[in-house]
Amino acid sequence: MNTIETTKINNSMKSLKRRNAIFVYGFLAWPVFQWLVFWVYPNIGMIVDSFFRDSVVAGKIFVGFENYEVIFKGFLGQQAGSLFTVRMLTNTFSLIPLTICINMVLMIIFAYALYKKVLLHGFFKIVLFLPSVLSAVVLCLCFKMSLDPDVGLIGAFIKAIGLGGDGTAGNMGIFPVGGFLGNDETVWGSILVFNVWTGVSGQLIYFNSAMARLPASVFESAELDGATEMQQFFKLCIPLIFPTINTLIISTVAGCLSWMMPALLLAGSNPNASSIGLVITQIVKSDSKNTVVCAFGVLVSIVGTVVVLTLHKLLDKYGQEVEY
Amino acid sequence: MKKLLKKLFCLTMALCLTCTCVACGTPDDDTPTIPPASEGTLAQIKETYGDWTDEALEVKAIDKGLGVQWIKDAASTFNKATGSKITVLADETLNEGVANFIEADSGSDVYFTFTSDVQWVRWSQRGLIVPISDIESTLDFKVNGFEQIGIYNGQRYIMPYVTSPSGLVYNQNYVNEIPSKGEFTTGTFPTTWQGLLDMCDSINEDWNKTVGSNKVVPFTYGGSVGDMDYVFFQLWAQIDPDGYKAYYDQDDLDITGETNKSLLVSEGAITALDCIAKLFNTKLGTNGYYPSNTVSTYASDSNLVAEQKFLNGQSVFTITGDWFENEMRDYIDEVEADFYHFTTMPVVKAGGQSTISLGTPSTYFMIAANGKNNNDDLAKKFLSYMASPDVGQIYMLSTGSSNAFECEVPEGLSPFAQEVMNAWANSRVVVGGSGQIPHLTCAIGLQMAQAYKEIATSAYTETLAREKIERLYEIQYAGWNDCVKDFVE
Repeated sequence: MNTIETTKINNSMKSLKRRNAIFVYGFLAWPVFQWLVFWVYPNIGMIVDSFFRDSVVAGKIFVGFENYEVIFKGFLGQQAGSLFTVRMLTNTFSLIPLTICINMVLMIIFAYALYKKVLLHGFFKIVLFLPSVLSAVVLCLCFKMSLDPDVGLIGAFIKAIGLGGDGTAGNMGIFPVGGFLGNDETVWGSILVFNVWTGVSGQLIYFNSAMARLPASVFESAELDGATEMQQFFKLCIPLIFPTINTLIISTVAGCLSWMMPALLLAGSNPNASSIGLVITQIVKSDSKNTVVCAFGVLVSIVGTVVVLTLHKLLDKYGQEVEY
Repeated sequence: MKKLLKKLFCLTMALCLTCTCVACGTPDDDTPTIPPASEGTLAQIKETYGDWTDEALEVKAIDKGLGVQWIKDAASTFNKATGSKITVLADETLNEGVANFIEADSGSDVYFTFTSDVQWVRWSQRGLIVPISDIESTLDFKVNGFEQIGIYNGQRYIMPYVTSPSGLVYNQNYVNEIPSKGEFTTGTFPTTWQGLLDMCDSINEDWNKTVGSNKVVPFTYGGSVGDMDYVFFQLWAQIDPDGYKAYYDQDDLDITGETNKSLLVSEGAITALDCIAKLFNTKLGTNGYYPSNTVSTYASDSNLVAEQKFLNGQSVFTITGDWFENEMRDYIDEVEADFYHFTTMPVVKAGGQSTISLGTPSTYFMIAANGKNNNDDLAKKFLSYMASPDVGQIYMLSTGSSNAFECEVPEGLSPFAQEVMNAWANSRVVVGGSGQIPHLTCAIGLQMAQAYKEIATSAYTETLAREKIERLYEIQYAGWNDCVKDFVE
């Protein structure tokens, strides 16, 4: 090959590389721009604003850690009526073990049952996916009505099995005073039950997809080698879909910190049913320039980052990941 | 067979999806609720508000409860008279999203919405909403005290519009059956608080009516949305109107040493809460104390559920307001209910005057500084028109309720709406609000929900109400500085 031809080839390679780069970076430009505008900028703004107060008479004033003091005073019980309570934190963080130990486990089991095409799997698919299709408002309404001891399905069932007392107002059996969602002691437990009912269907489709991609030959050969269903589930299925489990655990746990809709719809402004997301929503709704909520957002981000990174490390260390 | 089953399942899914699309607001119906205005009326409007031929204005209104048809009707008449092009947009989530719209350029020009007072005060200071003090002379407020609402630093920024008097709605058929007891007489809803308590006793002990398998209780209310506040504030205003007004008119930003304690820890507030404690009539059951005069789900019922239970015959009366008929219109038509009547809170002290307290902030109009048409003059004329007696009548006919401005009661109101107007005419009307900083910042706001809950699950004692009021003051005192600090120099 002579020099001219070599140069031509080099030039065309460079041109191809340039066009590829334009193509790749061109497509990346928009999501990067969105990330900078809708994530970096607001979060930097939130951190900066957490050290200021927006006074109506004096404009923006630097207040140092005053906003953080307000939050910690609430947590330490030094300010009566504060929205920042330990109960709010325990409610929110109770969602994490619920998500991992109950919702995720149930999702995997149901997804495996559908994958193995158990009897009536088509029917179960519809029943399991239905809560994720309906709106949260409808689900909350159905759940609330079903708990009504006078007209609800669950209420009627409790009465039918003899746990509803003698039916008089003074003897309601296991129905607490004020109803399950009105009683301070049972409201959060009732919301957790709702979370299990509706939380199982949400990410079922991801596990379904992950299992659908599993090589059938692996399970067939395991069966030929005499592996039981339980062995196939724990020794084959779980390791093979572990990346999906890992990703969904991380995303769901992160989502717990902003979870608020069911608490708002089922319990309103009951402080015993408050969560981090709900408190932030309530404050911003009443005063969108309240900078205490910025300080709270910073603290939640720090705690959330620690929780998520720790979880990620534990899952990477102790999880079994198998490539196929 | 398999195909048929699949089709059935698909149909079920489709029905479920359709149901989720059904909103709980009023149906979107552009059918005018009023006959077209006469040529004479149109000429008069043009003479009063001017010629605005081809000038545009966009109004965005919260589409909940009252609906927006009355605004559309008013805008349509104004357009015909003046040649303007005012469009009205309905938005069910405007209350939550207005903070975003108001800060954006080229949003709507006029908003009809509901927010906390602090929100519109902040917008006013940032120049995001236009002062409307120049139309003050055209605003003929119906109630003394309402003219203070919406003013900050001597300038008016919002025009409060909705009044929403609260009261009790009762089932006359039931009242005709309940045996007389004490101050309660069969057939007549009690006008005294003791009479109300006697009626509740008669319902539980002597009447014992059931609907299906459920015993009919004296009352239902929206416990999860704070409806008992209507009773508390109405009674306080009734028992001690001067003390009630003084509470809202307080303007001290520094209350070190609990200097304002006597404004809340007063006989009026304590007696009002004591009346509520007696209304609950707690009894000891297997699960602790419970309120015997209401349903078991009182603490988690919303206003809609409470009103539905009332219409289903599960209670004799419900705590609500003039919005009851409008809010439950579809359900009333469905169950063909005609037994409901409106009344104000019974009087607590002998010889007391029936009182209606109007809560604030109420749904209001405001003009955005950065609206897309940038036509403040037309917007102000439109607001003046909305405050006129003509539109007041449109509002009454459409919603069955009264707005904040003077107007004659039109003919054609429903019997329920007529009862509300009669109650209004025969009652002292007080405003639960002011233009003072402690009210604007909610420093004097009270977290009543927990107090009601504790009262409803405790044995009644004569000191219970005082203890709860004092606790409420502790909470108020602790949070006072955080509320007002943004207004302190």
